[in-house]
Amino acid sequence: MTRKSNINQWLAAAALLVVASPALAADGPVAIAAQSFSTDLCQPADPNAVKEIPKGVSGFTGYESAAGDWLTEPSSSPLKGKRVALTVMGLGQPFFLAIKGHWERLAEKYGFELKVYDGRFDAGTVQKLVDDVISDAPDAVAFAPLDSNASVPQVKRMLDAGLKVITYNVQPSEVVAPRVFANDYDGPRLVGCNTARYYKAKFGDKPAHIGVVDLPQLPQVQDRKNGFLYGFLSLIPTAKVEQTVDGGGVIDKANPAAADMLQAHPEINVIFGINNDSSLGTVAALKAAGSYSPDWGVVSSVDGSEPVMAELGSDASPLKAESGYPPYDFSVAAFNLLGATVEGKTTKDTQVIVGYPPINPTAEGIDAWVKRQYPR
Amino acid sequence: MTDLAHSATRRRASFGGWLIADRQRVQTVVTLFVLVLMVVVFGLINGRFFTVTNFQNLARNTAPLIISACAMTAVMVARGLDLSVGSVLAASSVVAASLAVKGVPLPLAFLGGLVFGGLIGFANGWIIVRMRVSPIIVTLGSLNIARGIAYLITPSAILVGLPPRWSDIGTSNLGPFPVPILIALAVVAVYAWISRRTKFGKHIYAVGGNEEAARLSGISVDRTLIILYVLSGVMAALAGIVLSTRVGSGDPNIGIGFELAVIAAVIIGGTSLSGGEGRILGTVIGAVIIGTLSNGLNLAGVEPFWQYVAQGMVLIAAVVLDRRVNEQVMRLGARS
Repeated sequence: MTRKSNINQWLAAAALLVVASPALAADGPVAIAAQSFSTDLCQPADPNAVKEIPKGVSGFTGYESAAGDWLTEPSSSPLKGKRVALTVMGLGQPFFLAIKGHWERLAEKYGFELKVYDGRFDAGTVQKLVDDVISDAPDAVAFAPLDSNASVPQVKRMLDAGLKVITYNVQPSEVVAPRVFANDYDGPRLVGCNTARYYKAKFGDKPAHIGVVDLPQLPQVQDRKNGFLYGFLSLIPTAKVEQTVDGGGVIDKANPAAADMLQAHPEINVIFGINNDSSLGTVAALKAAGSYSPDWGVVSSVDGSEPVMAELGSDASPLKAESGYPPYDFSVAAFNLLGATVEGKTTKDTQVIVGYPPINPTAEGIDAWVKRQYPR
Repeated sequence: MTDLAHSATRRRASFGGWLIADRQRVQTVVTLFVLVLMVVVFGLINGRFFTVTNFQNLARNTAPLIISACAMTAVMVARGLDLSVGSVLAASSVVAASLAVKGVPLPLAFLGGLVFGGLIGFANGWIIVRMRVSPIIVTLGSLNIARGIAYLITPSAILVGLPPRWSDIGTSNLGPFPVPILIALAVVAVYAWISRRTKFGKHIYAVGGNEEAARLSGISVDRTLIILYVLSGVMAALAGIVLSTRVGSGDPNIGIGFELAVIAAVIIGGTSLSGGEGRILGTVIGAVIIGTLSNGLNLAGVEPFWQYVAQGMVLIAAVVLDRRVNEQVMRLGARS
């Protein structure tokens, strides 16, 4: 069976899950989340409550520019007939697998030769693949750095070798090439706002106690965490952060970490997972503890991968706020930026910021997200 | 000296004799002491450590490690090593999950996962024995192969559409006992019985002690080793099923680094890296030490980065303490 047909099956299963969920109550958690949902950032009700929260640390946050035309698929591309190298951080993650799928479709549509390099989330592998890319000398490179600092010399080496390079997702710590990235602070901040809106609508003035399933090694993730806290505390300044645990960003480590956190602080009723594995690990921990219910509190996260959609659209689940990390938007923006770079229309300062679109938890909202980011 | 004093001395001597008579026993007692010490310290730091729900949580989280570590103990006693267990765990759970998604009844889907684990184990054992290749090389290769298979099987990073009862094994209890720990205890009982009460168990120690001598005494060394690797694969698959039913998904990314935790549990439990020595009970205690450390540090609210440092230090300290006390006791034994 081909991977493409597998993806189709997977998407069909996800869609079925959402559709086949028990009928949603008109005043149930999904309805409450949909009513309280907003695409607007909230402002701090009490500036003192958020003054200790660090600002963005991953280097390239807070830009106001929008993706605009970069997200439009053109009628033709300068990449036609070219040899293009695409690197990904790791194909084990749904986001990068979707990126690969989008690029393969673009390669077919616009007639360029695509070679995909898997970094396997390993610094050594990324270093080696940079050497391989230089040896292969493609016409254009869309490079996904693994580490902000290490990527600076890596990109410089490729540029010195005469390659046309753009970077996407995590950014080099210096401005070295055109880039596509997301605002890792404001996107999760919006999730924080929507989580607080839902919490207030469902639980009123009940004190909020926050736990975070974190991945403290990555600056980008720290922006996610701090952005979420900024958003949540903006609307519920009395909320208290009880504990942050290291969930490793993978479900089998996030699950026991969340379970331990719930043991240490049974009063926790708001949990933010820094990615979908973290929130799904939390959901599993709540199930094991017999607390899996929307009456327990609220779970939220960022990523927007398929398994979380089933939770988001279910009245039985406490997961009720999610912003997507959009693989389609990243792919098309990087594709257009790379084309412009090949044509010499960009400088190293050219940047495209794609959004962290908040996902409306209704069936329509979930469907719209899935169709755009994970089309069949 | 009074009769009472004589009697006390005799009791001490007989306890010391019982302890010293078996070096492995000393090691197990010392490891248990380390565990008890940790439990007491973590309990003093946070009273919630001693709650029933936390012990259930701890038991549920440690079960996959115990299951795989039992099989690894037998492999290491026979002077082997299986680095592929983390990847086999992932691939087997993905096999089971993908079968379940396709509508295969859960027992058969789980059986499919176990068979897959057994096949990888058989391939490991067969190549090691027949081709005379180092187990490190072979299982390092199968580590990559199994992980690759896991990614190839899954359409993307996480399988969705699993039947609702998928999570029953990983999340349900039988009375106060989480099902995963009951499965782990059954595995422990079987391995303890095999290693102490069966001819096959004696063969394992004989092969690990001196392979050539074992061969000359009529033991089928090749068959023993192949069976051990098959069992290691099956147990890794069982651990994968327990883990993936706990987290409620079939995910090819689970179990990364699991092999190191398994090997650490076995070594802390007193199994010799050079083979011929090891005890299932010690391994169980080693696995519980690793699980308790992670759980206790989280409950104590230790910052994540300090947890790495603390985990490393405690593990080294546990092994050093174990060796020191062991040496002291053996010296006492030699003197008496």
